[in-house]
Amino acid sequence: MEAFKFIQKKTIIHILDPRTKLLLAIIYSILAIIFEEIFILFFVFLSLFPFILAGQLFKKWIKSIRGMTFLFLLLIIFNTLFSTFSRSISMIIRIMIMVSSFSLFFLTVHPDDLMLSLLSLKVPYNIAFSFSLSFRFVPTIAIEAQNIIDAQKSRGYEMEQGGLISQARNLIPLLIPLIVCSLKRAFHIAESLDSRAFGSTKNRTYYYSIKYAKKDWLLTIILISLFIFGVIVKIFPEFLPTWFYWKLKV
Amino acid sequence: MNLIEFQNFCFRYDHSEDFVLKDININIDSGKFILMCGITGSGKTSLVRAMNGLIPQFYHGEIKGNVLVKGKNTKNVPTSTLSRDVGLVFQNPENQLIAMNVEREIAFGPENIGVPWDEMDSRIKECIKITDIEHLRKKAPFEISGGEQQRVAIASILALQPEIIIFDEPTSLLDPKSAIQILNLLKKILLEKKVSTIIVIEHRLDIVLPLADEIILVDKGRILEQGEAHNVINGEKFLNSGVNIPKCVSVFQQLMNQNIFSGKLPISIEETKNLINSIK
Repeated sequence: MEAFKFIQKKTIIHILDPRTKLLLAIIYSILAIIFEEIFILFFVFLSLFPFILAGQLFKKWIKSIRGMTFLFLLLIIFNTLFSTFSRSISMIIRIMIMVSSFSLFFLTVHPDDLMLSLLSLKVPYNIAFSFSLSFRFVPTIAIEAQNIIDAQKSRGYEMEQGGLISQARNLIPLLIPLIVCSLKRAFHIAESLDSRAFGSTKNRTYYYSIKYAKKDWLLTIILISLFIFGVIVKIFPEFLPTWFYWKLKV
Repeated sequence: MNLIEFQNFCFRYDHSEDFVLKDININIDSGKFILMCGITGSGKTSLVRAMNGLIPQFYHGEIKGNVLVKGKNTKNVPTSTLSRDVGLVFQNPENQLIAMNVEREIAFGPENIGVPWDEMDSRIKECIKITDIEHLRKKAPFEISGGEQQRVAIASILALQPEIIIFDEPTSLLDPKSAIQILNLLKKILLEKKVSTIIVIEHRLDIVLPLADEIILVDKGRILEQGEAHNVINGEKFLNSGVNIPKCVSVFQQLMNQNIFSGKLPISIEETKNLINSIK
């Protein structure tokens, strides 16, 4: 979850329009999906680094990658067993590209701006608002979950005891109160929204607005060029030197 | 003119067997600080829900009679429209704050009713000034204290510029010092004519009584008494209602029972001081 938690900073990446960063995440993910070659994926991955560094997100990014070690191990084991080791490496880089590009988006876009960018993409207000509301209540529900854990622990509850199945069963005393509390909270929130004129007029105004600036256009052009180049390379593999298509023998 | 008028109003929630509000006939006038008190479960929250249309628009059930808000029947007008006339601040500010920073939070109400940008900006500045939260402007709601959250919740309702604001136990989650600050803020809002009328549900009568012009005493879903604060305090019904009677009132009441004192019971420290001086 840490990989997707917004932190307020004033770097060039934070200032960019959310739509540009969404485009970046989408284009990088598409590139990660269409290619399978280790070297190409590696270069795509490397090209994300300037963005991560410019956004001062290196530490957060390392944390999120480290958090996926278990997944990487699984990928290596299953791919080597059922396919090749070489494929497992490309899968790992592919996932790293997708996670990095989307965490770049979520780490640098204010949840309220996220709503504005969804609105500009013609998403209905109610849906865009629910999306930003869910971000707002992540810390609140995390605190609530911690309170429930503490309350249950103080009554002798042990979460980490037993094997995998009994640990999963141990989650029930946490999940049930958490779900009940969240439903109750949702009801209170709805009541409070109604009392603040939510949905009273179709001609809603906005205090904040997002603008596509010159730097956004510049990055958009670069991203689209990169995408076109990627598609060309995919269609005409001879476009790149042969060493780009090198594979591990196993 | 009556801002809110209850006409033989009764209400029963869908999920309950009994009526929670019975034969309510009260009028809320402008220019008043009204204290609503009663023991837990007496129907205070249901009563305020009926004032801004949450009953019957949000909470469904069986209704008899009518509630009129500035002449508009709450049965026919949605709560979101009534919110321009009646603002409601809830007990837990955490559930009311829905934006990621204070400024956006205050803008939310005016945005919903389509206020133009310039006016919205001036409303936000004014609300921030009166609730004294300039230093919190860019902070997230979960980063600030309970008292500060409550101030933000108040500012966000003020920005809608309703004529009446209702506070449902605004200090129940606060320490005594913050509670006094919040209640004084409410009085300031009324004195500076930011709203016409304030209705507060409060259990800490010792700090809210000195501010109240009028008291509505609720018990078992009925209005036990409504009237000028001194008159209600001096009545039998108030003293036997089970509410948390302030020390200054209870001491003089005991003196009265022992025929040592006769006269009007004091409702504030200031009045108690004057009374003691006059006895001397």
